[in-house]
Amino acid sequence: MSTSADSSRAARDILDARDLTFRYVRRDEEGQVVQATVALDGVSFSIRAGDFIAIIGHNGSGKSTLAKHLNALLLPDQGTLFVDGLDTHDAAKILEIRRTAGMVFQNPDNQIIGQIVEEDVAFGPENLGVPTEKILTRVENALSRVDMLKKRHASPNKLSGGQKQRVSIAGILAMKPKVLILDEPTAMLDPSGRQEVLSAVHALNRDEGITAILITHDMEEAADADRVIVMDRGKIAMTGTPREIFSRSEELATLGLAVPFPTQVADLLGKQGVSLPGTPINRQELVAMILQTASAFK
Amino acid sequence: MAMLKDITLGQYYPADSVIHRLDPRVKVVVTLGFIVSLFVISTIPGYLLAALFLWLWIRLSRVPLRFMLRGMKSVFFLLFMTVVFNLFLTPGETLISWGKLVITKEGVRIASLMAIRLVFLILGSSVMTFTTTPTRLTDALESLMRPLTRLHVPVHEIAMMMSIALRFIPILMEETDKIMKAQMARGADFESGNIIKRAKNLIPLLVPLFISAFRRANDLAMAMEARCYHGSEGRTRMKPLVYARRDRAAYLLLLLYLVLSVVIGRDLLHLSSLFFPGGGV
Amino acid sequence: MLLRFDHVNCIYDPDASEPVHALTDVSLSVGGGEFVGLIGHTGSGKSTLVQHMNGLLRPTSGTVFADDTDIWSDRYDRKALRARVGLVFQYPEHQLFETDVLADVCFGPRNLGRSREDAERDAKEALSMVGIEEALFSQSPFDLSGGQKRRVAIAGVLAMHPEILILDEPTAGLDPRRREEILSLISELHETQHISIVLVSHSMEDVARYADRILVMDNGKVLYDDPPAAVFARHRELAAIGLRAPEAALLLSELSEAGLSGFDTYAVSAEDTAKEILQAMHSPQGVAADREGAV
Repeated sequence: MSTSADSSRAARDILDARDLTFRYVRRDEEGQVVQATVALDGVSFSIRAGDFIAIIGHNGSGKSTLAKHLNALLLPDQGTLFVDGLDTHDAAKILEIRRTAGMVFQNPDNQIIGQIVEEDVAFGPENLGVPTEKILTRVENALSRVDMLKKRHASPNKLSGGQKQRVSIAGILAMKPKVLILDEPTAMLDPSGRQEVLSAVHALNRDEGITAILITHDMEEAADADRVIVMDRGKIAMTGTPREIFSRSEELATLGLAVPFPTQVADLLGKQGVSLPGTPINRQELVAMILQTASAFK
Repeated sequence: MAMLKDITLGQYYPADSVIHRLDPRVKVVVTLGFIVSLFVISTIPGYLLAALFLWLWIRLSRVPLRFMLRGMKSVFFLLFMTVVFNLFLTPGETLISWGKLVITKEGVRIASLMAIRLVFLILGSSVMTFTTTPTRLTDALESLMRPLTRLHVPVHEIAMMMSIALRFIPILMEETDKIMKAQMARGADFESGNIIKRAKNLIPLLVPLFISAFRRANDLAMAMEARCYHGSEGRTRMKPLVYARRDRAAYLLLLLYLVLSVVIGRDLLHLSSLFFPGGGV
Repeated sequence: MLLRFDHVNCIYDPDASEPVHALTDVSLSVGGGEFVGLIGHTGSGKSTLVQHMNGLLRPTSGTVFADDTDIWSDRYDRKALRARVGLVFQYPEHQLFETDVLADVCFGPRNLGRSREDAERDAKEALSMVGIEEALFSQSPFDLSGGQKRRVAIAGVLAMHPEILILDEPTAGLDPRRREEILSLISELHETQHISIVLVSHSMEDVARYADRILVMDNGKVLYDDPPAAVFARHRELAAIGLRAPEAALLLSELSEAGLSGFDTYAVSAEDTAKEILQAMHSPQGVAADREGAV
């Protein structure tokens, strides 16, 4: 995304992917390849530190596979990926890479290891060998940043979905990451849980400059990102600001994706001869544009 | 459901007592020492000593006795069977007999001793589980078994497995309940039929449950890897186990108790003659 | 058929120090060919409510009637009830267990005592209703795609010929395209098979388009039981209990608060919303209102 000129943020690429290719291979008992599915097919991009990136695409488009490459859970068959200047192929740097680019998964239950909230948050720092006296400070700090300090002694089983996901985020924060990768973190949550998680991530991005990579199905969530990457069949189909992406609604439709509701309404109004002064990507923008156009009507 | 969720903490009884504050390793060692003593002791004064020790152990823990006794309910059947077997099947001097059923003097003695041993054993070890969270218990076992790593026993891995199991038991129990209901909504019957039919009826429950457990295990392994888990090497702890003065005092008390239980329990001072002029038990 | 709840209460753990009131004084009726949406955030009691509908849970007090018979009266056949009131759980694909798709869908009808031939006929019929092609019948259900698995699981309930079909979050975890497929499948079942539907969701958008009536639950109580338009009008109250009114309702209400008026009905789809806005923009009343609003 370094091509964008309109940003005032420091232009340093924290993630840099060159021609990533990855195939899932299924073998039979004799080790013969039965089936090979191309999940990533020559994916290249770079992401500036501090950006909020949304990756969208329907199931099977390769977005989760891409996410797993970003913290070296998967290694590309071909191509290279640099995380904060570290090559993910470099086995010696693997902990450093995973610490730098932490990952939150979809299912809130299947990623909490500890039986008590604070124990779980300590899991990462413990693995990294952080000295004992510093772990507790890190844990408290991480929990307070996602507003979960009150629940530090609670059992994860007694938390709501949104709270569990915030604990998972705290577990990553305690490793002092530069990038937060979130693989459909809200897919299993209800609207209020979803809101809790998203505002926590946006605050971390805005206030602390942590780069956020949000993989999502929800176009409203994508509309709040700085940049959107659209994946289709293992390739990057489109990239741009949400406005650039959502103004190409027909192209998105061919990829099986819809634009956010306010953009849809604006498109339909446009077809009826009411042209708004731009492409609205959220409700506030649409309301403002309609009011502006309506007063010009009289 | 709410009940199922509470299982995570085992039967932990939150309170602030000396026993709660003891290092979990001390509690494990004391429990083991106490159990061993029960099998060393064979005299009445010895059992009185054990009873005194147990009373102290329970009182200091501040766990109400009724909680402990509630835990006994589940093992009542075992206790009952032990008593019955020993009562009727021990050969010796006949006390009472109905036809083929014979109760012997030795039977009464052994049955009552077995009952005392079992009750003491269960109460003694439940103090440990009532005052220690499963996590601390796992930590203690890992630390105590560490010497075994030299024999290539994967101590850290075993401890990690135990604590993950404890974390997932309530989740899987809830899942079991959900799958059962879902299959019942499709007309499944888990309650009637003979044992073979019932076992067969469990397939629609067990297959999805196993698949789910594997899926969760897979997810969890990935999440652990993503959080830099790479075994015990170079791993630090947020709350490492550190012995305090009270822990050393507890070890000393245990040692004193064990010596006494050998001396008195094995009747090295011939105190038994005060109770049973005929000799030891 | 008609299910009627009469002052139903459900308390988990009544002996515990803090008993959980999962349902409090619920009286309502569903069925009779209606399409009902049941909305509430996680833990609001909606899952507990639907499990009372097919007799999986027994009310602590109060009565559930199926066509005027108490389903907990002696000798009432609750297994037969569960066939008539089909319940599709959340993530139903997690309950698949058979070696092939057809056998899995036969599980329900076979449990009802239907012969193998009858069960297979029912299963094939159900599978075709949900759009699973014959080529997949002999495949392992575990080899199907996520969307296909879910449709097979729904067929597993449909094969029992339910008169009321309850679906708990049927679109959870699916991408937008597959959500759409499942929702239109449900709507089709309602229209062509005349099955009464109870669609449980925390997403207003999902139910808004199809439901004749919406039940809103909060904290174990039925808060609203009204037509969609009346429910959406209370979007502030909905937000307060962790729910979000459909985007269209929020948009139109913001516009009218900003002074653009002249909307005569509620809208759910983008098409209807655009139509409403156009109409308001063109009506003299709308512009006049806008002028006032702009002052």
